[in-house]
Amino acid sequence: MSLLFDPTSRLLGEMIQGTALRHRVLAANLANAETPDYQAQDVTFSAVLDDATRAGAAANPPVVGARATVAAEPDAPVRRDGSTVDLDRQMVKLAQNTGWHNAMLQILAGRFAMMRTAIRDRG
Amino acid sequence: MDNEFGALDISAAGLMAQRTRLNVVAENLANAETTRTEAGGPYRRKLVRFGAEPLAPFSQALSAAQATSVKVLDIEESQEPLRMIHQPAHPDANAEGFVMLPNVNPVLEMVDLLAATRAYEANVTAVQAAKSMSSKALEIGR
Repeated sequence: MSLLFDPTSRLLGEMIQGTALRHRVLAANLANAETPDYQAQDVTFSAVLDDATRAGAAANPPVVGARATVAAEPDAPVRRDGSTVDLDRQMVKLAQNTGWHNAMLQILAGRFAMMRTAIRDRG
Repeated sequence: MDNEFGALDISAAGLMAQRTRLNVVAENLANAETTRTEAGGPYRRKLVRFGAEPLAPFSQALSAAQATSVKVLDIEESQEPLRMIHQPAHPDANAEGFVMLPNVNPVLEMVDLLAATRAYEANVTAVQAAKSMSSKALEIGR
C-alpha cells in the first residue's frame, strides 16, 4: 500500500483542483454580479467524484479520473436585468467551496505527515 | 492559470468595475446641481454599463462553458428628462425664468452607491478566500 500514489491521494488532488476551478467560476460570478444578462455558472464535480469513488470501490485499485465540469447554474432565478447571479447564494457557495478546499488540503497534508513519520523511522 | 491566481485576476476586474461605478456615482452626486457644462447645458446623470469578458487562457481551460471576467463597456449619459424649476434670478434661467437642472436623483445615487459597495465587498471576500486557499496549499508538506 502506498500513501502517495493510491487512489485516495489522487482523488484528493483532483478534488483540490476541482475546488480551485470552482473558486474561479464563483469569482467570475461575483465579478459579474451587476452585468445584465450574465448567466451564473457553477462547477458540478460531486457527481463525477461519486462515480469515481464507486468505481474505486468496485474495481480496486484503478480509479477513473474525477473531472469537474462547468455549466450554467441550474434553477437560478432570473433577475429583472436578465442576470441569474444571486449574491447571497454565491457567497454561501464561496464559503462552502473554500471550506471543502481547505479540508481536502488538510487531509492530504495529514497523509504526507504520516509518510514522513514512516520515513523518519520514529513514532 | 489553473489555480486560484486566475480567480484573483477575475476578482481584480470585478473590484475595478465596481470602483469605476463608485467614481461615477460620486461624480453624479457632486454635479447634482451643475447647470453649466463644457458641452453646454446642464449636467446629465452618467450610467456605467458592465459587460462579461471572456478570458482567453481561461476559456481554453474550460471546454464545457466559458467563465468570464468583467469590464466596463462604456459610461453613458442618461436620457431621462431634466428637472425644471422656476427661478428667474438664476444666471442660467431662460426667458420664462425657468432653470434646467441635472436629471440626477440623489436617492437613486445613494442606492447605487450602496449596491456598488456591496458588490465591491463581495469581490473582496472572493479575494480573501483565494488567498486562504493558496496559503493553505502552501502548508502541504510543511
